[in-house]
Amino acid sequence: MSALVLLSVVGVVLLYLGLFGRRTALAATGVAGLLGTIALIATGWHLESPLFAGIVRFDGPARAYTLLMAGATVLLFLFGVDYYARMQRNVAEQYALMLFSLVGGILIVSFSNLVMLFLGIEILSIPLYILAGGKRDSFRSGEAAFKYFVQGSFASGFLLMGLALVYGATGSFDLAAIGTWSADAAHGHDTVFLLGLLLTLAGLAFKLAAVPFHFWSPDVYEGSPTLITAFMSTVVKTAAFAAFHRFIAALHLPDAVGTMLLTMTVLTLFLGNVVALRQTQFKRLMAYSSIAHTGFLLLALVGGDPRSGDVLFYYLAAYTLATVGLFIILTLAKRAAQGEEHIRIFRGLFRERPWVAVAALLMLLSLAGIPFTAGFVAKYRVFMLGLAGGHVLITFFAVAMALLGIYYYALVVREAFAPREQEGGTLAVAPLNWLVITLCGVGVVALAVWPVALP
Amino acid sequence: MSTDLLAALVPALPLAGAIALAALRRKLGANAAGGLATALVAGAFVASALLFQGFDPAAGGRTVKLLDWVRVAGMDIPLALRIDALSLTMMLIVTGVGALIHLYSIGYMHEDERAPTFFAQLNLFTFAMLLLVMGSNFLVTFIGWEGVGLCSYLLIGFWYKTPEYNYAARKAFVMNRIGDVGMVLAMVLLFQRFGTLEYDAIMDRASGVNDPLMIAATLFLFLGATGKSAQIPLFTWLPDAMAGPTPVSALIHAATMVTAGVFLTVRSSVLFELAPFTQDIILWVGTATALLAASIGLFQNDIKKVLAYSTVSQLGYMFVALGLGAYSAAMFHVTTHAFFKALLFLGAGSVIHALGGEQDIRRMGGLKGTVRTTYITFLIGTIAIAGLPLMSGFFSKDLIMAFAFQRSPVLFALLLAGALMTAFYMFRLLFLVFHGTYRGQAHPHESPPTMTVPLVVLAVLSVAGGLLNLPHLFGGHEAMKHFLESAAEGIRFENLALDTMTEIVLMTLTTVLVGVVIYIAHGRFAVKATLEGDEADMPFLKRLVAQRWRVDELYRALFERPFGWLSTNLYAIAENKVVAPLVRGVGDAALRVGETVRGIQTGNAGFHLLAMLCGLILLLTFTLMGS
Amino acid sequence: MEPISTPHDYLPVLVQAAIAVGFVGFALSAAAFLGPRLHGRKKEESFECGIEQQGDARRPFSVKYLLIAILFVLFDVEVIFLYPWAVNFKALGAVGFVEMVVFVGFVLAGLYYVLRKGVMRIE
Repeated sequence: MSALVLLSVVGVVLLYLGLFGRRTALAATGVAGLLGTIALIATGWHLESPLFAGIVRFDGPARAYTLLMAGATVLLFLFGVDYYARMQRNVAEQYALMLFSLVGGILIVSFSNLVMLFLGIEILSIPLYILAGGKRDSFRSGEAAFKYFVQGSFASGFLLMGLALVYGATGSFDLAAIGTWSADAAHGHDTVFLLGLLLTLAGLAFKLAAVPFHFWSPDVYEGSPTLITAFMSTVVKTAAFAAFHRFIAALHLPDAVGTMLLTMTVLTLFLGNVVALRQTQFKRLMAYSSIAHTGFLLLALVGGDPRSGDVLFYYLAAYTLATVGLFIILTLAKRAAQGEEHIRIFRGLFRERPWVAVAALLMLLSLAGIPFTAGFVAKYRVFMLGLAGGHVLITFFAVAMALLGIYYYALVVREAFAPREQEGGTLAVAPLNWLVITLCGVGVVALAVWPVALP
Repeated sequence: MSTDLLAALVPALPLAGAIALAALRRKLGANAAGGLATALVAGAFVASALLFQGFDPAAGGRTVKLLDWVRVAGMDIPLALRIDALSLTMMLIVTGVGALIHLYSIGYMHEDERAPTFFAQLNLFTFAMLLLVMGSNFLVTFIGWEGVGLCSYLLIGFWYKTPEYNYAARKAFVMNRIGDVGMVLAMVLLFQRFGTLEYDAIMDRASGVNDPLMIAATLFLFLGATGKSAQIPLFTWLPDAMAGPTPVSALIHAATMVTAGVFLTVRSSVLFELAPFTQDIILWVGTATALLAASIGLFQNDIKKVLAYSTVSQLGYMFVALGLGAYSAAMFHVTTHAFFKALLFLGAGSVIHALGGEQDIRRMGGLKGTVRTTYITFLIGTIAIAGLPLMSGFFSKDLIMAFAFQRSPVLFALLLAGALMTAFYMFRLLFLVFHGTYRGQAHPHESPPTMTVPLVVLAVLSVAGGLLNLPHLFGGHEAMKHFLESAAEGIRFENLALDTMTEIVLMTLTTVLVGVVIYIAHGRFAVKATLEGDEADMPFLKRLVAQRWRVDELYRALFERPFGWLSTNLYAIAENKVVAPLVRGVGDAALRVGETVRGIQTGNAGFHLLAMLCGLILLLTFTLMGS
Repeated sequence: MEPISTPHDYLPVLVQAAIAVGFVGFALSAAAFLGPRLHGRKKEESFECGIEQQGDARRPFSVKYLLIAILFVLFDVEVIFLYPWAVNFKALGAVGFVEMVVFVGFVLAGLYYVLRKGVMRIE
């Protein structure tokens, strides 16, 4: 509660700071607010749960995910100092909207009532629609915002319909009550409930960018401002997965839902990895890589194993660190290359900025799942879960896809370590950016030797 | 210093050395780099010795947990080291022999401009090997296992400018990789069955399990072991691996890495005891390897190749012991073999060094006057490996053969044949290199002290190594066996149940026959140097043996050619004629669909919505039909 | 918990939907069939009397209209909360009063932000 209030108030304060032209104080205030939130959550101060008449419950996972998302947002805000330095107008709104979106994220990782789930998703999404169009002079950015909005509303429609049907079948919005209801063997074959579940999951799967609900993500990732793309692929993805897991873990799922999840997993793994092979634009590549990771994350969930929560959290933490860092490096390289996004802009990075190149290497290796990085441990745990759940074939398929995936990350690595043919613009790295890149680069290795678990 | 800290220090020192040397490789000279590397490995040896001294066999092994590594409820794989009799034995061998070889390398590599890199890789190898033997679970061992494979690849191809050397390195890598697949599959099976990868937990839970899965798991483990320990069918990489600098051959391909398979089998002996079928396979693979490799050794002309095939053959003896369940005998032979084979390789290196890179024994001879220390130590090594009485090799090999006799006289006879061949080719090597008259053009000179000191130390060990496990017959207590037995829980030991008379008869028989063989060799190679002529002139059978039973050619015909053919044709037909047009067709079709859709729709977003809806409907249909 | 609804229970909803759609369809088609039809230029203009129509109806107009409209709805909805509070003023007591002051404070902050941003300024 206290955290939610603090974040919302900080958002409003940011708007006012912008109103009075205090640009330099924006990121600092935002970071201070986020750190305050982290402190509140970590110490558990005034974390009275359940909240709002029992529709929000700050349990262990909710707190952990909140910390993760707030931490990622801090990194992005630090990056924002440099990123928004040359933006003339409405900077405060960008920060504030990210905070509001984060509030939505916190609500859906802690919901215990389906109404809150829906509200949270909308609070999460609406600021994103605006943020995706943040570059007002860019046609692509506007297009991204429009597409995201239209398709997002569509998905909200699925979600609402699903929630309504679930309510119709069970007579409750309360997650625990629905869980009890679904555990009753007599309700195992309730068609309304099943249809409701499937539609709800489809609505949520849109946010995860799971195939076949992924169509928005490459366009939106590519068109949005890079900082927002990073925000979407880390904070929003974390929130969506946590909510997804929270939802299915609380229920006794009919077999058909398992089939649907498996189908989505296989499709997502396949499409994400295969299409990414042919991408040469880095942001599109990251979009498909993000879809591919969705596939691995789904694999962690399909078994319904009690350990999957831990694995999911660890995977998301590893993924978030690597993604944030890489998007920052992309921005810097893109700036030096006059706005180009082809992966060749990384060429010569090692010669020019060895440490940045090494950090990029670590993060790419982590995403590819090479040993001694967090990504490897994460994938390893996912595969172990897959095997433990008895999905041997699908796990082998996922392993094959992971091996395939190494290829397109290796392409980027090769570019970063190849010498540049002709002189290009120099790559300037502001101290704060350097700090965040270092944090992310070291983080993916540190996580590998010091794995984290849910409290 | 606390035990935990010491235990962590043992692998940490070589690792630190590897990192430091890699970082400073441009700034350090060859001698400084070698000195640092040697000092660190020697430090690791001291730490191991302190651990050994403070180790109480009665108290049993202990696990030193360094880090929580992979931890999810129910899946707990720490980065932990296990200190028990088995790992201590291996640690002492690896660091002790390793330190001597490091020292030797200072002299051997002093002219190489990439010497610091060499020492960094040597240190990294030592680290990986220590991780392999000290790991408290399969995963840690596996990391060391892979690291050892990687370093061996790097070191074999160290002189990477020669293409054949690179080929040899690749071959070693691929062969090892086949074995690694076995290891991974075994790990998956064991994890699925026992829910853990910790050795002691698995051994606890496994006792009494009677399960076909055990056979599968142990067979996979054995596949892994054949890769590292160069057994049939994966042995062909080891002779080629002689392309690396000679100290590498000594360290990797004689003393340490190749014993990894033996170590792993001893480590998981409980599992193997539960799968008698696998044990029989090990027994016969070991026997076959011992004989095959020994026979190939008879006609080789490259000094290092002879030693390489002898290594493969000796490893075969170790696997025979494993197959018989005589684990302490296998470990004993690992130890003595580490001493005398390192000695022989380093001696060979010294000879090669003296002759300025010459490796062909047909262009050697009469060197005993010029390289005196090398000759005497090499002679000791040869006597030890041939198994003349009271040398270390005598005790360890005879122990294995006694166990073999206990199983079946036929097996004993086969191993005896192997031992005789060993004596023959080793003395052939000795006589052709050091006796007679010099047949080359170089100007031989004795090696520097950094190279001869290790030779002397190893020679002493080769003589005295037998004391480690002196049998009752000679007034000893089988000390090593009791040490291993008392402290390494989970390892089972079979006792030798032959009466004293039989033992004496067997030993005498072996000794007399070996003596006869040496006499024959002396006549053929020392008195007059009988050199092998051209392969084309040999009779068929001899040519077959000299050409290494044509195993390489067989593999090439069986695997390389068919796969090459398959991939060429798959590319030509499947890829170019079928897949590519198909993919292109699909791509074109998708583009055309896109164009069509664009014609109808005002923008892409609409198409996406439609696709999403269709996807949902298909998904729902599929799901609901499926349930 | 007892199932309070089964697919069966949705039948009335379906019937009602069918009736609604059916009625609309019936009314529209009946009007088309029964009504007299006269075509003419005057007849098809949007407004039969008043100002002459100018240009196309489908043309972009200032987004400010939309903004102001949506802001009106926003503040309108927020103010609606004041009614139940006012009715229960006594029952909610001091705590309710403070809460409402905070709420109104937020609304005012929003209003100030909107004014300051110049949304209401129409050139």
